[in-house]
Amino acid sequence: MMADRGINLVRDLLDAQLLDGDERRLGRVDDVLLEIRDGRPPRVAAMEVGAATLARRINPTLGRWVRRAAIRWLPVSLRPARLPLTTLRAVGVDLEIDIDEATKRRLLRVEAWLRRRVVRPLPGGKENEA
Amino acid sequence: MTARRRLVYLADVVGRRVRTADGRVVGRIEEVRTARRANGEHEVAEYHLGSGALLERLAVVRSLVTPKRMLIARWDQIDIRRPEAPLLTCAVEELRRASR
Repeated sequence: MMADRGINLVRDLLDAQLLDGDERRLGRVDDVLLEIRDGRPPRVAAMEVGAATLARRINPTLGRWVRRAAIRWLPVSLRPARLPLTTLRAVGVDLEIDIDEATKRRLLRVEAWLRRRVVRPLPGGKENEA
Repeated sequence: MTARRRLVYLADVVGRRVRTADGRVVGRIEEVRTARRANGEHEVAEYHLGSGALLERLAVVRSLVTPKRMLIARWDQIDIRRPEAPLLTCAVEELRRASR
């Protein structure tokens, strides 16, 4: 159950594991976007999930490099996914979110690509698929 | 005139030293607390500064350590429009003190 009193963004959200309703892992919250508004409190605009966001957090130059490298060499987009906090269903050790199938596919596109292009061609790869 | 909107990453704010207008360091932002509005959106309610806030962020049990000071600033008491250099917009004495 989500507390109505609000949340601690660093302790409760940052780096927390995202799960869907079936407890399938969808990645971690790599950063949180705050919208600055004149004369009003900053609004939590979205949780951002993606390798480029994580790389940017480690080092902005590394983030730019990862983004450019992904555009140039990776056949799958590394564009970060943004999830509004209204998708949160439960806040605990992990975060349970309620998102549609299209968003799930976006969050898991790198894993799907790896499964299709790397795991499946391996001997026994098809049998090992979940 | 339209209101200015700008996006800032939380990771750019957390760990930054907050300074007063005359350059004095007040403490580092260790935690950002939100309040949930009726429409389900979350807005920043307060910033937690200091070693006590770091312990809160790491969820260290109070009895294991000596109580540490924590400064709590309302959302309007810290300007994060330049996240690399957060600025205190009030006197240090106006910040709420709590121990952890």
